[in-house]
Amino acid sequence: MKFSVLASGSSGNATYIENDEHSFLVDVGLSGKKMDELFSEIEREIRKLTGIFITHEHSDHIKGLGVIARKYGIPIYANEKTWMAIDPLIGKVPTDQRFQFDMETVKSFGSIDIQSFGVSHDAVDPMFYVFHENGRKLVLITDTGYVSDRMKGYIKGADAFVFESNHDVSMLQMGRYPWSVKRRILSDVGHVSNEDAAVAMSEVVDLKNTHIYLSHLSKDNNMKDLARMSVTQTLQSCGIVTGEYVHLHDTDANRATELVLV
Amino acid sequence: MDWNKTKTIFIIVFSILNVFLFSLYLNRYNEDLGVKVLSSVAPIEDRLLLDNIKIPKIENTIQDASYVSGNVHMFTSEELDTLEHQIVELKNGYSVKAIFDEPIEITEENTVEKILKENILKSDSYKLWEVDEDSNTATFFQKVNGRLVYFNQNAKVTLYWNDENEVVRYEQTILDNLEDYKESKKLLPQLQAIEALHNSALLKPNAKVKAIELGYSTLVQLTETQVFAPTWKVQVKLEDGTLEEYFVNAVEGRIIEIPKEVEQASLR
Repeated sequence: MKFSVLASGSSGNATYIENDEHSFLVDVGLSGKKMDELFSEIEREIRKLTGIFITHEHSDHIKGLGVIARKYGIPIYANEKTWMAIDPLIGKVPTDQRFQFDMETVKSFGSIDIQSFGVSHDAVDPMFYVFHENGRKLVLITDTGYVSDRMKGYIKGADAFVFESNHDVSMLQMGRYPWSVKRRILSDVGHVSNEDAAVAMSEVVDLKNTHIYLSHLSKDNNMKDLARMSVTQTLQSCGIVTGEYVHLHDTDANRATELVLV
Repeated sequence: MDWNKTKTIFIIVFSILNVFLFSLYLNRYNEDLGVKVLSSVAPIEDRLLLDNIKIPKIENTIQDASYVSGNVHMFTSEELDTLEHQIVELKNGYSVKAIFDEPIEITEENTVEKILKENILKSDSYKLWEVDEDSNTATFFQKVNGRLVYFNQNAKVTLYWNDENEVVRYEQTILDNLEDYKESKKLLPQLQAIEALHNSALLKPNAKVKAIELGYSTLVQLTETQVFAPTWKVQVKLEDGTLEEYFVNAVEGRIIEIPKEVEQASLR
């Protein structure tokens, strides 16, 4: 199983996953044109996708969904409430492309099992996914105000994580966002900070080579270097030295990460 | 009572009243249209002119800068052993407190800068910030990329002198492992920093902006590392001659309020 974080951040999110038989996209938070560019970066074609999995209805996760799904006739998977929320936002999608993927269930596509699990975010029914293949595990978890024990149970021991590291709390608190927005981000249904993400990571990584992609960084309240530094130091204070078996990677709002094997 | 006559009088009176009220409304509306809301329409230069605030010639030569990270330096005994003619005490591994065996006189030739240079470790890393004649102290802030780190207790030297104008002791902290973040940020033009201060009513009428310099202010303190943001320091001379300093985050444009206790602690 291979994957690439095509784009990550409040301006748009999309992650590509493939094996020899199938290829998937989790979220389509960028315009059709931008998605084309990102697919070119990893030398893949959108039209070959087996399916698109939607996490929740926020625009940074579904912006290009309607256009791409209609253009290429790609099946879309989302839970019932999310379907109801995205329907008015993405335009008409043919019935044969609409599939329901309930929370905390598993769908199998050949040798890949995809498991959904709920997160805590201010959307109707947000959920993220764990991809399993031949004992290897890839976890996608962003857009959550905190990482609960239930979520940790789903994601523990993965070989690769696309893990939210949204903001630095001091930057957010000192920044120019209105208080209502700050309160929302810091709430249980907002986004996880660098430090909280690192504490959660320390509880879910196993003693094996693990790759963590720091994702969904706030443009205004975080920086790649800061997120990496903050996560590194917090992990260190939890007894995990990065670079030994835990490896941190950046993601970008506009550039795809290298397509790598899990 | 002639009801018809009364009705006619009422109609005439209320019609006249309506015409009068409508004319009042029209007048006020036209007046509002004629008023130019200077604060939102006029360019900052005009608004400064109106308040008789003078600014220096602005040269936006610095357009980009990076955030910087650094760690608090832990002094080693080997480093401290190189210090001569002083009794050195190391507090918590990072704060040097030293007393000179013989007080060093400050003269026109033997300035506080020279005393710093000749007697203190890594003296090239600092630049004089303030001489306080009342408390007999001189405060030096550490430089990063040739620019000052403002009011950071882990990046300064304070010299203390006695009433005979002799430096008797000093305190020192320093940051190391200083690294620029990879992403360089576009800086806010200096005029916008002035505008931010003016919009917040911090620039008083008849003041004179004397200088605008780029430095760094503490943005984030992680467990081991501190992160510093590019910061415009705006020095203002008030009408009564008092000098004031303001700090504006040079990336976001946010005014940085340095708490009094931090300022005082940094200047001691």
